[in-house]
Amino acid sequence: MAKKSMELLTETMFYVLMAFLKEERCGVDAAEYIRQKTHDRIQLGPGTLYTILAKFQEEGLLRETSVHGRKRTYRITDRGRQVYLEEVERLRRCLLDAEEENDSSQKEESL
Amino acid sequence: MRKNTLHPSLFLPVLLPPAFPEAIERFLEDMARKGWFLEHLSYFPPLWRFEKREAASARYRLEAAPDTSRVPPLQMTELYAEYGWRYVAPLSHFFYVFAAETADAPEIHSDPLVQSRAYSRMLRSYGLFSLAILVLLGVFLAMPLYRPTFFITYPRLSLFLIGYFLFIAVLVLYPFFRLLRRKRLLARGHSLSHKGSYRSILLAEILLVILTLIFLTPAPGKLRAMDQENTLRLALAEVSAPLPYLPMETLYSTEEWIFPPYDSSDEYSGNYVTSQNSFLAPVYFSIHEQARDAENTVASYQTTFYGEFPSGLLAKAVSLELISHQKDFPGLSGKFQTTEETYALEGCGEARWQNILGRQILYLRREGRMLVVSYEGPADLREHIGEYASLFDETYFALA
Repeated sequence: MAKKSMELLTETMFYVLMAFLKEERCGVDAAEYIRQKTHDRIQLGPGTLYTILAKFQEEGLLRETSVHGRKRTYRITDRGRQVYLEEVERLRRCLLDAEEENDSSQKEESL
Repeated sequence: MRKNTLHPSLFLPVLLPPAFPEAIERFLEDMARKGWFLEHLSYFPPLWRFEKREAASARYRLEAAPDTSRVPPLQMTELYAEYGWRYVAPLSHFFYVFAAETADAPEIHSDPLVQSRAYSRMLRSYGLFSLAILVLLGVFLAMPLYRPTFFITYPRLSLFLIGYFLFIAVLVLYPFFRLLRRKRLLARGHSLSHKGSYRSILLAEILLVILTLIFLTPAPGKLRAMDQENTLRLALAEVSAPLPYLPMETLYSTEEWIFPPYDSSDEYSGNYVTSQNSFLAPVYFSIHEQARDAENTVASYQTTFYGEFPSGLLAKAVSLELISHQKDFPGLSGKFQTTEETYALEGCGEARWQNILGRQILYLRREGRMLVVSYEGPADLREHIGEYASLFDETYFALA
């Protein structure tokens, strides 16, 4: 059964989890990492970033580790990592299905 | 960072409701272009304070509040500030106002699906707020159900009140569904517009204020007076038309009793009849007799007749209210002795007799007609129930 739209990770949410995979970061650094990673395709606004960080903390995917003045640093949790990997696997299968469909279409056209 | 200097202030009574965030954003941006920047706003009273500074093309955004707190979380304001968005003020319990006075501040939301989540939370609290108001309005809107006699006696005033409260109910529900529609747009991946028109909304709000002022001014009193003008009061001795009642003298011998003549200047005077013609109760009579014997014992007798109700259901609702009202008399303690008997009379949907502290009350209902007799004296109304029931066989007309 398909999940409801808000239960799935949106593209932005997916990249936010990715930003914390290797190191702890503050929100602004995570947004900058995503901007560079997607070659300016995804530029997070503060509202989107704040809502995602709050949601991920509430759901136990991220955890706040330190606060220095305005700078708040977050770390991905085991559950966050697991959700990220499940999403990667789902996207990988989607991609494989799409490639398979593409190959079969090309074969039909060549016949 | 803004300099902490004194600026001229302007207080404006703004009546833009929070259900139109894009209109409020546009209004604030237009004000900023004129050099007036929002510093504080309140809804009760609706006074918004602006400060005069150099005119600029600032951007304003209304952010859905994550909970019912009037103050946004510190993490939120700090993060927004990093991107050039200054927190200005809360807008009711549902939005926070942020402003960007530089062009390079990025748009606050870049993912509509994520923004729809913030809207969902705000809508939950907005829905509860709307529901609470609707429950309160329901108490007034249901008035014809539990006070049908008021509705019949004051039809103009009742219609005005019901129309007004229905209007308020629409004003409460419309914003909720509007915000819900914005949330659904976001959930479908559409970004929200920030360019709403506010002039028509302001006009509608001004209209509401005018209606409210009418409501609070003597207009309802005038309607009540117009309703009362439909009521004619005459001395019983002057009326020759057949009236739907049994005169006291037919209940028992009244030779030794004195019936003081009706005195219109005395509000306690008896022996008069009032007649009313309203569209819900086209033939209404209230007949009051009062007598005194040689030992100064007072007999009071009142017959109320509601004729030609448009439906039997209305007659039943009226009888329920009257019975319930009499049970409450003279207090709510319920400790006084009440005797009650019901009768099965041919052609009568209801026949009930009560004795409450010596006062007898008789209710008879046949289809769209209703007769209530309230009597305190030596006769026993139960002995005359058949005669009262036969009053329904006659045709009556409201007094001209």
